Formats: sequence, structure tokens, C-alpha cells
Amino acid sequence: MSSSLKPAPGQRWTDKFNLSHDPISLEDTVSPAFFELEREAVFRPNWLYVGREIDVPRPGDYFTKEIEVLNASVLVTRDKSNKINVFHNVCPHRGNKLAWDTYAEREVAGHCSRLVCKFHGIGFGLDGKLEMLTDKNSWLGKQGTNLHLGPVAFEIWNGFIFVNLDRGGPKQTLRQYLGEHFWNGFEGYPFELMTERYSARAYAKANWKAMVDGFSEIYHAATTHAAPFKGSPMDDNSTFPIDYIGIEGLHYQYVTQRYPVDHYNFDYERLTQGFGTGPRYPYGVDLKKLPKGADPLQMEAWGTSSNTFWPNLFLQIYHPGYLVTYLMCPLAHNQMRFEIEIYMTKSRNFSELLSHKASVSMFLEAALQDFSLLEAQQAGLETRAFATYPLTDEEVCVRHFHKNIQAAVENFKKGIRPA
Amino acid sequence: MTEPELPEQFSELRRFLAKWDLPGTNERYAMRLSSPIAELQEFHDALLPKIPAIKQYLDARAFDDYSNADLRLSRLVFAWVPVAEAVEVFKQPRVPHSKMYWDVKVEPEI
Repeated sequence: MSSSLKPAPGQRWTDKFNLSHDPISLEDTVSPAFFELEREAVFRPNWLYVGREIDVPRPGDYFTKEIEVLNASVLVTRDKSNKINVFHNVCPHRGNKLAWDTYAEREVAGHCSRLVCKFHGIGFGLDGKLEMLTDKNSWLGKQGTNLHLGPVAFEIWNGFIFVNLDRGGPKQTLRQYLGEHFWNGFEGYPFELMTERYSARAYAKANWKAMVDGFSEIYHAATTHAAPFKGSPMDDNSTFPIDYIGIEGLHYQYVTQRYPVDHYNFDYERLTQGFGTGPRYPYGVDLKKLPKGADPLQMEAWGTSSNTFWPNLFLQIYHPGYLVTYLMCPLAHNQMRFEIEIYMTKSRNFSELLSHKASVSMFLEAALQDFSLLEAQQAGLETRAFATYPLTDEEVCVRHFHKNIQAAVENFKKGIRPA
Repeated sequence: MTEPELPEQFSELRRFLAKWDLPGTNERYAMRLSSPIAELQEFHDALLPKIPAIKQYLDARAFDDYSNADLRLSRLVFAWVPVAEAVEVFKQPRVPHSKMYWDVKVEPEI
């Protein structure tokens, strides 16, 4: 761990974290060959986020998750006995996908008592067990009755479900992967209250890392988000003050303070009491302080805790108390899917729901501003007009991330397993 | 007796129902993107002064007790939010430099 309060005057974050000042090679973002190596070097050995327990709230609920970078399709279920299960979304007979609808590559979600394969009608419970074997007498020996959905290794942290598709099983537990700073560090946060869910998807012709970078610095905010955040503390281009940046192994986090609670930029915000960084309506949760792992400074003026979990999950906690996850899903060296999930407490009346919806609406507009730049970003890099790009001190987390990506691929090429 | 389209005190907003009574964010946003800014301005300006009264009216009811007229009223306000963003924040229907929008898969509705 090498976490850090603001550097002393004249000192740089980059130096505090012992990082080189050198410009970064763009190869990791534009090279198809690099992308192929990333599959095994970056994604294969790691715990990968697929969703929250609350996404399957009732026994019988399920959703599929496409993990294209590893050619995997996983099925997350809550079975009759209220237990979470994760399987390969593949029928163990002839290999058809089990849960899908019309477009084989698309994710589905639903509720059922049994999953039935469209090909030969074999049925499985949400616990993976065979429930209906068709053409019983034609099966040879026990090959039919032995059919069972293929399990996928998974673990749950604070209701967040992670899977591991490493060959031969996970080489480290989820706890080892997240590290001690995070493992118990979010204890006390009322995750179980965040049941009002908003879920959105978009696609872009851009490398997945470009959007990870988008959350790794707020230098861009004064320009990219000038319109929604006008008249705010960001007007002088200093953006949100960052009080803390922490590097925890491959993960990193930063914490900022918040806008004044009664600050609104626009009429619709004032009337709905919703704002891009959070609803202001009397609220189900109002945390005075974050748990220590989310804010090591324990600031009462906390606004945002932003946490990037290697390789592609971004988890933000906003004041007074709601969650956002972003998952950057690689599809090709220059294709990605972006998944946003916003979780709030359950609205108790119209004003509260309006406040939530208005906040989410502006939030999605702001995220769209980031996302809309990505294709131009990718195209610009692919021209190779430049071979490298310089990063400012404020962009230190971008530097840290790309350094680790390049190291992971280099080590993989040399046959060195990650620590 | 035929059921009113909207609660009596908001009946002058009936003229917006045909276009803006939409079931979810995807539909509301698509309607915003395909409308001229003048139309968005008109819808924005008509609802703006009524928002506090609408909130007060709807807060007095539990969600389960909403009549169809109440539901239509709530949907008008939910459509008004992205329209207000276009009018007040971006001054145009589209987020600048953006060719797309999200596909919202899950969201609460009353």
C-alpha cells in the first residue's frame, strides 16, 4: 500500500507514488495484438465484477453477463432456497446457450422456476441441478442423469458479486485480491438499503481503458462538464478539490469534498431538488462519515469516494448516500460496452422519486459527455500522429493504471504470474 | 362518468399528454432528441411554475393509491426533467458532441 495525503507544497503526487514523469506509450490502447494479450494477462487471472445480489432480489430471479474478453457467458441466479449461484450459461448437452433471447450475444434477465434449453428441452433448476431430462431412455449410461450446469467460481463482497475464470480455479481469494484496505474497509456502509436500481448501457468504438481513464482524473471536468456544472467551484478550472489519492496495490481511490448542499445551478434542479452529484430531498440515508476504507481521511465534508478496482470496475459513493458502479467491458481493441448502475434508497413519495430521477437524469447526461468523447479519442490515437502522450500530476492515477496494464502484459509474455 | 385525463387543477396540461405521456426514459429521451428546441421550451415553461403544486398534490397520496390521472401527471413531470436539461443546461435537444444516448434497462416507475 502506498497511500497519500496531498503532497507538500512543491511536491508532486507523481513523485510521492514513485512514478516516472515520462510520457506514456499509446500502444496499449490502439494495438489489436496488445488487446489479445490483455485477455489472458489482465482479465484471466482476476476477479471480475458481474453485478449485485440486489439485482436478483427474489428466488427465481436470474441475469446473464457476457464477458466477451474471455469468451464467457455466465448466469447468475437466486435459487429456490434463496442462495446465489453462478454458472456457465451453457447447456451441458450440446452447448447451446441456456438463457438468451433472439440475439445470442445479448444479455438477458428474468424470473422463472426452471431454465429450459431451447434445443432439446432439457430443464435445470436455478441451483444448476437437472430437473427435466427429455428422451430419457436414449441417454447412454448416466450421461443424461449426470447433467449439471457448469459452476463458475464466485465470491461476494458487501453484496457485490465477483467471478473468477482462471484456468484451474482462482489463484487468490477475493479478499487477497481486494486487499485488507478494502476488504473490511467499507463495513458500516448501508449497502442493504440501496435497492432502487437504475441500469443503463451504451457502446462505443473505443478501447475500454479510455473510459477507465475517464474516471481516473477530474482535470477534464471543468471542460467536459462545463455546461451542467457552470457557476460551480469548478469555474476556475481547479475542478473538485481532491483531498486524498490512495494507491492500494493495483487498485486506487480518491476522495473529494462536496458542493454546498443548497447550491443549485438551474431552475429544474432547485424545483426537483436533484443535482448531478446527488438528490437533495430529505433522504433515506445521510452518512456523516464514510467507513475508513472508503475515506481514510474521515472527512465530515466528504462528497465522493471514487474507487477503481483492477481491472475494469469503478465504484463511487456519493453524499448523502448512494452508489454508482461503472463497468468497462472490452469487446475489441477499439470496441467497448459501458455499463452504469445507480443504486439509491427506495423512494417513499413522489418528491423523493422525482429528486432521484432528476439526479440520475443529469448524472447520465454528464456520463454521456465523457462517453461521447471516446470515439474521437480512439480515432485520434489511432492516427499515431504522436507515439506517446504526456500526463499531468493530477492525472497520476491514469499513469499508474497504464503502467500496471503494460507491466501485466510484459510479465505475461515472460511467463511471470501476477503476484 | 368518464375519468379525467389529469387531476382537475392541472387539466390545462392535457395538451401535452399526446406527446409527453411516455412510459420510460428511453422513450422520453428519444422524444426530446426529435423535438425542435422551441417545442421543448414551451413544454418546459408551461410546467415549471406548476412543479411545486404537483409535488404537493402527489405527495399526499401513496403510490399504490394513484389514479390513472395521477399516473399521467407523474409521467408528464418525469418527461419534463430531460426536457428541462435540454432547455436550461444545453440550450439544444442533444448533449453537445453526442451522437447517442444510453439504453436504460432498469428504472423505477410508479
